[in-house]
Amino acid sequence: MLNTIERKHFIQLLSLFFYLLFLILSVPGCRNRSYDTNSMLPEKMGKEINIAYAKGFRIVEFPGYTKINVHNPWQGAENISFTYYLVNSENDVPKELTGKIVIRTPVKKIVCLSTTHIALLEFVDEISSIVGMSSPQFVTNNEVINAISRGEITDVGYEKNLDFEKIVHLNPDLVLAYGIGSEVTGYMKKLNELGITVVLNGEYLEKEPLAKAEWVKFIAAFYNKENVALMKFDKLARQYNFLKDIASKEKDKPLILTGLPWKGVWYMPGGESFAAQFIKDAGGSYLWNKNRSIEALPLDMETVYEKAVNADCWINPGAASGIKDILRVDKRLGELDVIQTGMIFNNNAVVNKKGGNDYWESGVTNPHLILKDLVKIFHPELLPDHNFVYYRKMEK
Amino acid sequence: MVLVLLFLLDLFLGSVRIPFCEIVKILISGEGKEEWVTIIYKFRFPKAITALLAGVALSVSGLQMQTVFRNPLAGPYVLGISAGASLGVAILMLGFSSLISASNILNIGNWAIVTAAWVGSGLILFLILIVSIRVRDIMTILILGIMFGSATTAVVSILQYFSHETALKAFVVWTMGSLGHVSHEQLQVLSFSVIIGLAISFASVKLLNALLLGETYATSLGLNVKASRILIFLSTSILAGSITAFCGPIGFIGIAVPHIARMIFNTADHRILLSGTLVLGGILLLFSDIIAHVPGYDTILPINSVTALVGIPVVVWVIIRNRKYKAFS
Repeated sequence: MLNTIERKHFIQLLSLFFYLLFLILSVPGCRNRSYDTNSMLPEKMGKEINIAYAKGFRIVEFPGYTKINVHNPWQGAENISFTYYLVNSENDVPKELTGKIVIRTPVKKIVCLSTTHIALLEFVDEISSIVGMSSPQFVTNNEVINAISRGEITDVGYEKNLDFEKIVHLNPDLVLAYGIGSEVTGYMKKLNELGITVVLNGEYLEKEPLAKAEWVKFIAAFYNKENVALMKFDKLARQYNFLKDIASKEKDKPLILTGLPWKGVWYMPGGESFAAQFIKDAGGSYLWNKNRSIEALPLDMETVYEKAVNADCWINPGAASGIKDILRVDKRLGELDVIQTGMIFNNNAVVNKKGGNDYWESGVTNPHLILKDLVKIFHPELLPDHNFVYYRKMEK
Repeated sequence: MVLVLLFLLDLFLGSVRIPFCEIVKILISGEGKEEWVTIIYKFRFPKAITALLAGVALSVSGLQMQTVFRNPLAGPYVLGISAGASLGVAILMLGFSSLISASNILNIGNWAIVTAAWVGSGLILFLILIVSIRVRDIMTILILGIMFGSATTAVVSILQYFSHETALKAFVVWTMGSLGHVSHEQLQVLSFSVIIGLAISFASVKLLNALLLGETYATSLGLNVKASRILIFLSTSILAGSITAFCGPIGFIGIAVPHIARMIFNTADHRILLSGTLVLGGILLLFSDIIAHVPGYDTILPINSVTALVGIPVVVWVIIRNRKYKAFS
């Protein structure tokens, strides 16, 4: 007979043995599971949703679920892909999706970590599903501002200062995040550990205005509103392309300068950047259009001065709200011809008290309106009746 | 001679390629292609003068601090001046930005930053002066200076931690130093402060020589050690404080140049050393500025990194050449 202590010991040993046995057996088990992935529905059975401009995601609809891939969702990410599976909450989760990131749709409660996400949600009329926000002080959308003041939307902190406890307390179906760099995986893991699903949104990485806006199709999938989004987006894209075709045919292209220097260095958007694309589409000639970079170039002030002295038009001078502000940053900017002609326009016509700019919020889903503003600036004769939405002329 | 040559070279070389003859013509007659005249007079000239002033001021204040503290690792910022200035600027750019707006950060005018930096470093100077009136031991002052510096740096880190990307980037760019954005009117204020600071330095050459021999010896010579310290602290703060206010914290020059001067002139006499340091400081920073503007290319490098990268090989080379070199022998 074993006494109690020895028996306890024996049971411990036995359980350790079984545990090890389980570990050993579960290794081929893992393999079995990855085998399962292969036995999932083949790609050709799915119907891929047409994505014409955006490069960061694809959506394939299968019977019973929708598969979404997000590619390289932060700057400098290479060969990184996240896959999410959306299943209508009325249906059961198919067996082959065990172990995958499954999101039940339509999403009821969402936490947005960027103000640009508001625009995407507004597009599919789902603002009311927002329960938490990062930096709510920068929001310009009235519906959201009201909800914040009523206490229906909680401030969840931002980036490194995310308040995990608040997020867990909100118990959202989804946290819509974005990554500046790979460090985003850090708080994604943390939220996953807490049982919260995080989806990365890479709309800000797209290089074309229409590609950014096309992320509405991505958002729509989480609300089973793909069809609405497809229709609305097609209309928007048609308007954009129609105007672009007219404007880019203009022979007389004004020379465009953009940005504002800081401490003697001018961070100039690269020739392939988002800003450059807008200028090109609106029938302007960007001073750095020969450059092949997407990133901003740190340029010496004298280089910019030499090239920009005869520029016809200057757009997006930082946060300046008048020519006075520009001269306060650097008096020498007064040497540019464009200061005399006053052809300086900034995209901050709609800014809230805290400096949150609607251009970066609703502008994401209104590229056609931004383009209209720019065409009006570069070729006023083409759109005599258009009133500026995001832009305004800088006062002298 | 080398100083004048480098000063001219700094005018001749830049991101925009302007033919040699054109520059000579512009410098002599003030006439030429309008853009080039502007580039020379409004961009390169103030920048070269700023580089010269910053090099001179930081090296001289570094020399003074090394002598007063009898410590080869001391530099212009040992009193916590740059930390104080950083705190002032951080409160302006990061502290307020979280309250007001992150995107308005670029609208903060040049003068606001200069004032904030002045107030910050002035505050630290005030603390140091109070301490030096009460405390006799120079090591205590050194330690307290470092403590003040660390405390302000800690506050700056907290502000950085809580700030948004735009504001943070703007602040980080400020800490990298810059010579190219000082305007004509700012240059007048800067030159005026540097001249006052240098005047005090030259007036205290004898004090520095006496302090080098030890405080007891200096006292026996009839020197008021506390009073002379305060005088030297004052000139250091004026020199380093105004440079930091206008150009941001520029490192390395202040520590390295006094050593280079001691090795080249092979003397401990501040009458020679002060002038030597002054000239070498100007040379080193002008040279760094030329490199930072990467002649022939559009881009620009942060001056702080260039001073270190250019200065370190010089120091290493000089040390290897004179193995017997001792900072305070």
